[in-house]
Amino acid sequence: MEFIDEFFLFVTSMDWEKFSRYFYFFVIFEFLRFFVVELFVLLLWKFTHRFRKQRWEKAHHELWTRMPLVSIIVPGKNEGKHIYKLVQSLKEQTYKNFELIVIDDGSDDDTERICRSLKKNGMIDLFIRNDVRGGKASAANLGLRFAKGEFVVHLDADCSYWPDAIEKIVRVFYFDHRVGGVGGNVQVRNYKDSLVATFQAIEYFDSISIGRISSSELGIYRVISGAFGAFRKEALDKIGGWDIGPGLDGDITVKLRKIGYKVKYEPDAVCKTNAPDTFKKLANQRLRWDKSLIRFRLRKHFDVLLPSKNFSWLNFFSFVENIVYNLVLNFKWYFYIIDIIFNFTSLLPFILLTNLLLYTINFFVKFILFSAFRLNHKEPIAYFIPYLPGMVIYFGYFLRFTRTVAYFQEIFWKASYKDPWNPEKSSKFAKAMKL
Amino acid sequence: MQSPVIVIDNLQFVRLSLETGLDTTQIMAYDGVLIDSNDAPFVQNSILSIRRHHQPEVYLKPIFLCQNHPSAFIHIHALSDGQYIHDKDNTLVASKTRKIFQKTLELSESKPNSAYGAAIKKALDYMYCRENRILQPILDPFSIIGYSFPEMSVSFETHEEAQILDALDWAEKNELIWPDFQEKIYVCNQCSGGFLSYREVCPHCQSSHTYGEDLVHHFPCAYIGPISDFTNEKHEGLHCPKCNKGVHHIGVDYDKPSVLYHCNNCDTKFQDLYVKAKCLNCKNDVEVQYLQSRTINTYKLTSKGRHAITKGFELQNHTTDAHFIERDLISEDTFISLLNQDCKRSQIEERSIGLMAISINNHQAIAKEMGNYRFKKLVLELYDIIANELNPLEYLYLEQGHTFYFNQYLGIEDSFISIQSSFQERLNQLIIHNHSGISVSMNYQNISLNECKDGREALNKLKTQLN
Repeated sequence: MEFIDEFFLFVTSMDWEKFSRYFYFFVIFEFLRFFVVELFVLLLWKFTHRFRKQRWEKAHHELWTRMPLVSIIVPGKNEGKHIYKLVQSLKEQTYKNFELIVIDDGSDDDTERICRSLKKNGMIDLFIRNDVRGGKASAANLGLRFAKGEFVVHLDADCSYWPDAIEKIVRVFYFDHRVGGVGGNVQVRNYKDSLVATFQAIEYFDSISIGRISSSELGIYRVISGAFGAFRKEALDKIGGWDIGPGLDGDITVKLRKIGYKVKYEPDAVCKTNAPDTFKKLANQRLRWDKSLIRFRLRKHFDVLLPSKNFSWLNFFSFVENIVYNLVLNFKWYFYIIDIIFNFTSLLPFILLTNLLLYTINFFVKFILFSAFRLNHKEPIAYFIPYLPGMVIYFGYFLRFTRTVAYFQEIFWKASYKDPWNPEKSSKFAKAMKL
Repeated sequence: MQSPVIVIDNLQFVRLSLETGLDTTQIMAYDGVLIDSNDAPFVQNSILSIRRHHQPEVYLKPIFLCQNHPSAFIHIHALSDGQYIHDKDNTLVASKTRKIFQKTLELSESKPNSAYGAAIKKALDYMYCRENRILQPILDPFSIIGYSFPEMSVSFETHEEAQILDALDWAEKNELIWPDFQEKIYVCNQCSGGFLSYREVCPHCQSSHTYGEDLVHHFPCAYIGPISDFTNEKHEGLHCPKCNKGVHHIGVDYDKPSVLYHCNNCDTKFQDLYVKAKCLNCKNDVEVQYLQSRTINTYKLTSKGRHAITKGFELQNHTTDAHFIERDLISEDTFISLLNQDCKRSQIEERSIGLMAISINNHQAIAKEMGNYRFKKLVLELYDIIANELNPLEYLYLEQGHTFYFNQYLGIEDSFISIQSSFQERLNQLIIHNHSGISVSMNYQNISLNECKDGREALNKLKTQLN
């Protein structure tokens, strides 16, 4: 009781100056960027939506008039068990003029048998099996090599797609002819399977479904998800397709931006995917993803930050925002904690508790407020509310710690080149050539 | 002119030459035959005429050749008993002739009751009289299956030689001969032709106008494409079209993970080439999985075979269709007789008895696709499926190898539905597992025997319904 009284006294006696000193990290770096700015952009997006309606209708009309062939590429290893469901999901698509290309990247299960059977029954247009695994990039490039469509859609086999997903994602190319790539709205399908899957569903909602609307509107959208991304084939041909991963999704997005194409996010094009269902699997996935920030932003594409004939302020700003908010502030947070520990030792429990409350309230308000912007109002929201307090730990500690480990591994040991996700034969060249 | 009769060790031999010609009726009177000619067609014709003769006194006669015949037909050694070139051969010739004669005295006149009875009897007699000679297959470009058994071939026309294997199978099944594996061959499922032209064809349009290219994966840039993408006029060797670098060492900076084929006819790309076999005899073009597999064995007489030859054949009947040998197939007349009784029973006992028919509509198309041999096996499996569903009072009649008729006791509709669904389910399983790609169309019909005055009328009614 004494602690509660003291905590109450700490909160009520705090003036604005003290508040900003204790909680500057939250206020400046979290609240302003991820709440105020995003809310502002979302409101602007909602408000201007009606003005874009006519342009969207025109894009829709143009798409259905031209009916371009869309090449759907599904590269993968040991994905046979998912392929039939994927094919069924694609059969339900409103947009039918597509060819389905499945690339088997050296599977050692019955993927080949399943796919050959589907091909025989006309459910797959082209199936190519590589007996030797070459990595996801090479598999996707092989699909691209034989794609005949004007647009290429890259899918993951274990995902399912809303019936109008292909139509919606391709439509963006007619909305703006300078668009080279479009990212789909990836949502978590198995959010009820485990606590970690539920957390990821909330995270995806926050950072993908809603977060990417604002980054796309601001022109700094930087990762076209590999699970659901569409590309202008001409653009992919110009950049030579995908380069060696991991992190090839972000890499190809930067490559498109560097040659002058716009990159957009389409929230209406919805894809459901299975998220890792244990913290260990999630940690492994995030270690892989987070390393790519160092590898691609700071090494391979560092030239985006330097003056050159292809310099673009938007790309520069996108990179800076990415580096500041993901890399710099990640380490800055540790300095903030040290600062609090050494300078406000006696107040430490109160500051930490207040921080916890601030972040929780922020999550609640943001989640409920931003839910108003979601496209499908039938999506369950109430289910996630009891889990929101846990997001402070998930976001603030688990993901932050994983990210920190990933950055250290990549900065000091270039660990991404040793990731078994990519075959060693390719990774060693990527490392030598600083790709 | 030399005398046509030669006496060797008190045995009389007739000497055949171009001058004397060949008269098989006179051969019976001699102990053996000497063929003294270097004219290959004459030698061949003489030997075949003797061995093809229907009387054992002729076809078993010892034949000796007085001249070397390196260019004569390939059956010459199997169908003759040796050479008589020098006087020093006298002893051997006389000894062989006596042994053969002694053996012929032991032979029984009975023949197996089989479509191939005469041919089998001749071959077994011949084997027995030649000291249990082994029946040897010979690679033979003039035989439709590519192999011939000289002792059997004499009883068949060249185009019928596939039937030799059926006859030998029958003899083997009846334990008259014992097989020793030599070779497995694949023959046309329509004509049993063994001369097949194998071709890799496009799975889409079946054209053999295809070409294949290695796919090349360049490790550093993850580009992958047909090897032709890596060749251009500017550079020697392989050059990556994506990163514009030379591609030098397989396994180091590139590999070839697979091969992709392209059809020039329909512009399809694929990896799963179909292999088809075109029969050079009947021009049938069939996927290799539908070829008929046959085993080529050598055969020797069993003790049961020797017993049959000397004491007479006591074997089961051989139907004209070897595949149905173990099934108790009933004739149409028998089936109608049984139906007559059921008609009476249904009227007297007021029992509900139905007559069902299940017919394979597209039997001709299936037989063409699968081949007669495999189609018959399929029909046989269907026969077993239906037979297993019947109770002891019910009987099954197979008409023309594709339509099944059977009576059904009790609740006609229910029983019929159950047997139909069971039949359909098992048929589907059968097709999926063993004959994927084959489309089988079935026609199911039924009538009540209570409405018919006799079996003939019931069967005719059902046939009308089927049509």
